[in-house]
Amino acid sequence: MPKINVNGVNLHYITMGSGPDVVMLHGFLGNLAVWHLQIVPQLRKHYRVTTPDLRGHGYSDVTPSGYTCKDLAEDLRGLLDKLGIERPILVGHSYGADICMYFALLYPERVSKLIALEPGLAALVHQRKDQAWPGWDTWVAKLAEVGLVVPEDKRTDLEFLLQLSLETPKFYGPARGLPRNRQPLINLIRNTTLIQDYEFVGDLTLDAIARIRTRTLLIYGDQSHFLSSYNYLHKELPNCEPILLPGGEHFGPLEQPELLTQHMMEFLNGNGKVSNLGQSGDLPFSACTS
Amino acid sequence: MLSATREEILDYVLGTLQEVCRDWDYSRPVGPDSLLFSELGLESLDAVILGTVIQEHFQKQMPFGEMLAEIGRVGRDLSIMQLVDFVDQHLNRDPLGAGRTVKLQ
Repeated sequence: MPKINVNGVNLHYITMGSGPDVVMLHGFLGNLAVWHLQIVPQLRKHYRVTTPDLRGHGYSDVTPSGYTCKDLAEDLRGLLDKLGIERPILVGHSYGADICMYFALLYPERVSKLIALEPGLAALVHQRKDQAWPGWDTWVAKLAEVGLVVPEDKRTDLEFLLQLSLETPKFYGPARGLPRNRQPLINLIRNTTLIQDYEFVGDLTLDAIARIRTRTLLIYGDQSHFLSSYNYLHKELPNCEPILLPGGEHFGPLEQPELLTQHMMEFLNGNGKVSNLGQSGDLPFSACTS
Repeated sequence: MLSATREEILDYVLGTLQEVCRDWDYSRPVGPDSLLFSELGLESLDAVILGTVIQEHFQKQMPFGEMLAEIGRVGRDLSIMQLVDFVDQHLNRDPLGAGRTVKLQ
């Protein structure tokens, strides 16, 4: 269970395979396992894949603060330096994608290509905090399906919904259906600055998006509640290939690993146009508010 | 690639599980029939780590990811003995890694 000290924090990571370097960052409240059930076993045949646990997550050290996108991009930089990884392909899911984009903005010479799965972006968080954001209703409905009732005044309370969601059984992976080990995640939500830090914009402003020149594969599920971010990003990123996965929601790596891996491999191999398995372009997303 | 008997594999797996579960509240004896997920309370992350450590130790790639994903898909569990069977199969009976599936509980 190797760990490496980066910026004073012991970060846990796994490296597998051989070939060009790929570094993959999981999302908010997740851990590196999300990549290992199906995606890493395929990628490792052609790439050397490194998956860290972000600070506070998985087996990495939990710190009281330091969870802004910029802090975590600096953790990534420190990890790459320590592991001697010069110019990897970066892959991120959700908050992990935000971090990879922040990194590409600060250190474009240290990243060769970028695969951004469902980035949210702090600069666009106002779209998702709006009372009318469809994600709130869906979240409340999903909790109701497993018998967890949300009081009216908590229906748009992020911290409350997150904590309640920890009561749900696991949805994915070999332990599917079993109760979660909630304590580390409750600790992360209650005793660190993670939730506040998530909203830190820093250098990654809306204007800055246009300066991320790294070749980027931008992937969202066409049912995702983060589509308002897709609608902005696919127009503003100067060097991006947008893909919408039919029927996908926010958790692509777990929901549709085969399709996702196929798109990733095509992009990484640079075989010209990615096959038209998903739509691209604007959606008539009427439920999306600004 | 290290060669190992089933006994040696079982010893190694039990030892590693103790390492992974060290801080946990599990008081019953852990043996070959213990179920990793519903009894020992492993999460996906712990199972992924376990698979990585085992592969590293025996210096052999084994399809852990696929095996764990399959368990999730069919909604089953995995006993320690079945884990030993899996390692044994890929170490000793499938040395070229042609990859046959293992029957799950």
